[in-house]
Amino acid sequence: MKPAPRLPEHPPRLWKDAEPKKAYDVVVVGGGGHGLATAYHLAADHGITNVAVLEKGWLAGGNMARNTTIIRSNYLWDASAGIYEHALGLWETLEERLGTTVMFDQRGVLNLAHNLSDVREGKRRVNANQLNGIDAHWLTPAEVGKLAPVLDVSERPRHPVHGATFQPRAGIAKHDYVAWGYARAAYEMGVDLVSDCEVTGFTQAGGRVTSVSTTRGEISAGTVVLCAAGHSAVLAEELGVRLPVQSHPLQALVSELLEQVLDTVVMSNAVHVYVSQAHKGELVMGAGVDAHIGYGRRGSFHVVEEQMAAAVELFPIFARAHVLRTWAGIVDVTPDASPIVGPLAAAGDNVWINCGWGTGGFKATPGIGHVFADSVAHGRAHPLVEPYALERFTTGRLIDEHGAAAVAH
Amino acid sequence: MSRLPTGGSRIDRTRPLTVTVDGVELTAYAGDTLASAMLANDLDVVGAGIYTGRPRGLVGIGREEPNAWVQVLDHGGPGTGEPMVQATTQPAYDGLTVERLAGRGRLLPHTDETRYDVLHLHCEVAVVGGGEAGVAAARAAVAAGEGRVIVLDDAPTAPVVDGARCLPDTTVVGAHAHGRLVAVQRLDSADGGGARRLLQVQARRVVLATGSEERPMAFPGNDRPGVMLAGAAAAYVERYGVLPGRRAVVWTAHDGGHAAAAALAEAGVDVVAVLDVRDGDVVTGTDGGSDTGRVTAVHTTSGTVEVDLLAVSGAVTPETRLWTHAGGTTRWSDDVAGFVPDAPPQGGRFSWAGTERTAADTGGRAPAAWFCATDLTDEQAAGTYLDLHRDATLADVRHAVEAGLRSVEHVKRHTTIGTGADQGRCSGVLAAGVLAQLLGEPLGRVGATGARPPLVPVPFGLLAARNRGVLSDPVRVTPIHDRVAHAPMEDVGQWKRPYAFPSVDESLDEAVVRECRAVRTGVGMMDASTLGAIHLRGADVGVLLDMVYTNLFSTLAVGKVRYGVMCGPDGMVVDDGTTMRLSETDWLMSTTTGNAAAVLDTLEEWLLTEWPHLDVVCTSQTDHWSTVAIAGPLSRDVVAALAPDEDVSAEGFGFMTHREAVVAGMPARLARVSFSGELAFEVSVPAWYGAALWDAVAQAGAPHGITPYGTETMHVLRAEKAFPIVGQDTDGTVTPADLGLGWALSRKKTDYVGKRSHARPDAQRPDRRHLVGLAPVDGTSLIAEGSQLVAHGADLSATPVPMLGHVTSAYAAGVEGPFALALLDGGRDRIGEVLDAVDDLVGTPVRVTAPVSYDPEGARRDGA
Amino acid sequence: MLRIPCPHCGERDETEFHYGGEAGVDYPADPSALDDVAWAEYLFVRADPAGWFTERWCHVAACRQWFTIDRHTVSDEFRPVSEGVRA
Repeated sequence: MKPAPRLPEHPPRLWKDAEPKKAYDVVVVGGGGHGLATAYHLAADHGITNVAVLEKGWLAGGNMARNTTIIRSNYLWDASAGIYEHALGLWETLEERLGTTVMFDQRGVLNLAHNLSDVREGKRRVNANQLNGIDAHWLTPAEVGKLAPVLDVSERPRHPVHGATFQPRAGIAKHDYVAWGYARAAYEMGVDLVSDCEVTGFTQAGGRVTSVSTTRGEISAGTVVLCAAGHSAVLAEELGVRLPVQSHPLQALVSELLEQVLDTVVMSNAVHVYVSQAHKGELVMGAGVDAHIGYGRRGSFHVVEEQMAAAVELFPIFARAHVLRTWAGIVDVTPDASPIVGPLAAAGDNVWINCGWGTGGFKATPGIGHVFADSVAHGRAHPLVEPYALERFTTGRLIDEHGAAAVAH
Repeated sequence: MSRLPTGGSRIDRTRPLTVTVDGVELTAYAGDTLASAMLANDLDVVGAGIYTGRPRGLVGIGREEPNAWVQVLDHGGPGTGEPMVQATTQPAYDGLTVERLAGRGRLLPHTDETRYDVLHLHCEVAVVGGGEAGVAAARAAVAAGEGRVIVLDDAPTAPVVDGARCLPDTTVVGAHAHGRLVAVQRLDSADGGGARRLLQVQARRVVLATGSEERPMAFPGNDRPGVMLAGAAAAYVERYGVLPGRRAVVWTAHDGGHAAAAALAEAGVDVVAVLDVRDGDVVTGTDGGSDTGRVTAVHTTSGTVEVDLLAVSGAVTPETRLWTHAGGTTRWSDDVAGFVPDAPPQGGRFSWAGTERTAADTGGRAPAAWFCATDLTDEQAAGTYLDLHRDATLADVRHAVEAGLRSVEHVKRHTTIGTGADQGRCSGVLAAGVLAQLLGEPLGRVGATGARPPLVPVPFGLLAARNRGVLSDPVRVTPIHDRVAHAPMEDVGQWKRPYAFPSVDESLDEAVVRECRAVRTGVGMMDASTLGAIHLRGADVGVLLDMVYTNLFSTLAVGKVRYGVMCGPDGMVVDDGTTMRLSETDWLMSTTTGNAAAVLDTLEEWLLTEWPHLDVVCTSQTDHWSTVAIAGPLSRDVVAALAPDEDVSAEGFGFMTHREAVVAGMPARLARVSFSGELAFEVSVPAWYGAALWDAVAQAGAPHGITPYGTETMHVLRAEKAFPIVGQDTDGTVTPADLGLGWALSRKKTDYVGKRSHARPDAQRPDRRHLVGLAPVDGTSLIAEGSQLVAHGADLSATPVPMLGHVTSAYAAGVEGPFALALLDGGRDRIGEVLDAVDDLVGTPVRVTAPVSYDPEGARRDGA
Repeated sequence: MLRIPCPHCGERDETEFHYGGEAGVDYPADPSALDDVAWAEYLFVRADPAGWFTERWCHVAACRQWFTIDRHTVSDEFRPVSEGVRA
């Protein structure tokens, strides 16, 4: 009966919840990873510290606490590669920046191919990645089997593994450590972190939003920054703007803690599996997005059952592992599976939005925090987020990441 | 041995058995759990702390057990072991072999071949729990004539309720919206094995009678073997006739602890003291033996007692997890010192039935909500375990609070309390209570962390059920499959299609070269039955087709065939294919193999939701027809032999026409369509004639050396003609104009699906990606599919290297040698340019060509 | 697993249905008359409320009919559709 290694300790001091003040230079709506990282960068990079982060529940308790923590940048299109690779670079130095451990573990990510079409698309993406300076390789089934010996790379599965793309610098991190690291660093620079503070409306005057109504009172805002993920559409509606986003349940699950069997992250779009074994030893798996919209943080169990069938098909030794816990988050999905980042001019001159990350927001956290704060501070979209303007839906210049590069996020 | 000579309501003393724990054989009886067998055999140490490695003993008797985790090596067959199960819920059976764990499971390197089944049950009333409240609810439902009533009970023996079906050994693991229950039924509790099945229960109404659970109190030294829940200790006596200790102290915060003490005493345990926090008695520490660490003495506020059992009971409170799964809320109740059901789940399908009696009901004393002493030193706090399974202590919670955390969810994540495989049954409320103390807030405000399904851990394989192997996704084959099954197959959606037909001494590539040459110079045959076929009938089919295809269809004459492109409302290509007009009112549409169902769905959606006034009925006929394509300059001779009554001359049977005919004695439809640019025919017969048709074509073609060909040859041939493959040369970002199909965008029609999007600024950009051809500059180099196109001579190390497009299709076996199709920025304006096609950072110089690389004037379609 | 009340077949499992999103979004009578903003609105923008929502489903595995129904997107309760909204 061999004891397991403990996880690293959290810092002795994290943050203290603030009582909201009457006014802030910047009010960030949404205390998830993106909101916290944006607030951190506003303070750290631009000296903007009169900032409140308003969170309707507990800090980083939404998708930040519910995602499967996969970090990678091997996206097809230049715009996507740009922002995600920027983020990955920042992940690599995040511990030094925040002064806390985030357990970023570059164990690599495999994206499996199960038919000739997958192989073509995988190679297309690898080539695009390499030319964008992103580490990526194509692996044969045998090479895949070496990296993930518990993955069945034989001809036995219904959809056998024909190969995979591999990004060695990709990996996982520990979401609480990340969120709390940002929260702590922002707090230490004077950012107010306000929990249990739900935004219920906005006051608009003179083409601006002048204040935010919350369950803890009215808060005046110089600039309003929306980072509310699955609740973005609801907030935008309050601002009189209809967004092309739909909020869907997305489920995930963990097994019991198990001795290490899987040293890399495995994703398969064709058979809907993405799995890693977290630091403590649990298998962490993402299931599919439910087809219908929903805010109940509750998905349909048949989605989990389908996920298990796919997992056992690829990983036969998982058949007797146990589902310990399932849960759902609310993901905001756009028509082209790419985010919307930029000014929300229709709501006011001083309103910025960052939403629509669907299932892929966690991995972008450091990158979007950096460039979104830069955009807000300078009053113009950072070049890396320019392609993500809301206007693309009008012009038709979409960044369609599910058409081609359709890799489960 | 601690087995009493008599007693034990669940065991059968006539059926002794042996279980093996870490190589030590234990004797037990049928009906024992592994835990009761361990206890009966005086196995004090049932596990170890996950981080501390400290020896741990049994605490509970059911799924609340935090310590007794074992790896089952083998349930009787390869792969049937389990990485981590609770000894308290694992039935003992003869031959059961396990190893104890330190809070972490171990997967066995075997494939589990067990077949798991699913049982679907539908009922008016489902009652979860076969205890007093559940039985009463079931009887009431039967008496009220509510219909079918099912009782699901996780005990090995179900209650008997006349008029209701009672399922024993059945644990409801999830209660979901709209009255759906997911349950696990153990099929083997008497005879061993791991056999289980999944139950999907759909109920109009669900009564949750899930009973109650006991929670401990925490104190320094509370992780020693010999510290147990009092109710569990008494239940080991009652159920299994096992004494959990010889000499005991019972410490309680409610009247139930006194009842447990009495039961232990009656069974022969020397209960030396019953301490009650309500009287100010608090356990302050323990001593343990030097071997297993089992408790030898208990220090209390009223002195020290030498014992081998410390039975603790903090409270007995409702088990509300399924209630909260379904969306019900809970509230803190001082009456029971626990969280109790509050607002029911929305939708009215779930109700709660409990028989909890408060002190007011029984005339007893109110329970105390007591969790842990507040004045412990740091050293004591570090030895006061709030979650034994996660090895987390009072000191850990203090650290979290000192770090600034206030939310119970944050503290749970900081300490990991309640995240273990025991679902935090012994620790969740304890930790919340301690947090409330530390924050000085009422527990009702601090709240409990949410419970999430499943109620207990469930094997992946059980949830996968029968959906393994070929049942995980159906395999579709055509009626011709037997004739071609020897060929290597390509998966196209669910279909299996022959990739090529290599002879024994041929490589796949060589076979493709040979097959291509046969079609270009002789004749080939291919099973084309997988293409989608949708029959359209009605007066308004032409109107529908004019909307869903970009080009004009309503003008198509009976007997003619037309190629069409379909776009989504966003203007991007979604499918293509030919549609033939069979009569004034009957049309037959063909779709790509992969999109058949989606196209049918789309057509029906338009018809039913936007254009219900149109007289059109759609019927999927993909499975109705077997189709063989006969292609090549000699195909006419083959068809003439097959259908001697038909005039198949170029004049008598024009390109893009079709007719009914008798082919090899079979009723057939003959069409002159070509996916290769060569003279070609398609013969379709009712599906069940497929194999006969294949044989007949092969026989009629034999004199001409007819050659079966597969998907790869089809792709080469079509690519030379630049016929795009939707999904390969398109990716959801490609318009018909991008593909060079601008001719198919009707300007006469006022509208078609996608037309407005084609007028958007981005669709009008001259530098959009166009489909072009590529040829290697040296004439011989292969171009790799998926290559990215960059400027010729670009420095590939100077990333990011601007990418101009990518290779969508590439083939070695073109008439002129290797060639490719690519999507290239402003491609039609670059014809003649040299670029590099980069694959794995190696560039191949390629010249941009017109997409059509073979017979651009179309001279061959009527035959050479 | 949602239990969806098909008006033709009765209450059935969600897995028998296709989701159709917001109801009442008509194909424009004359798309060419719309400017790019209005066309983009038709293509991409759908209501996404946390609360009652009138949506479309198609019972693909049975009657294959489309219908509209109100669902509460937080609790997943269904109720008959408000008057005057069609699929």
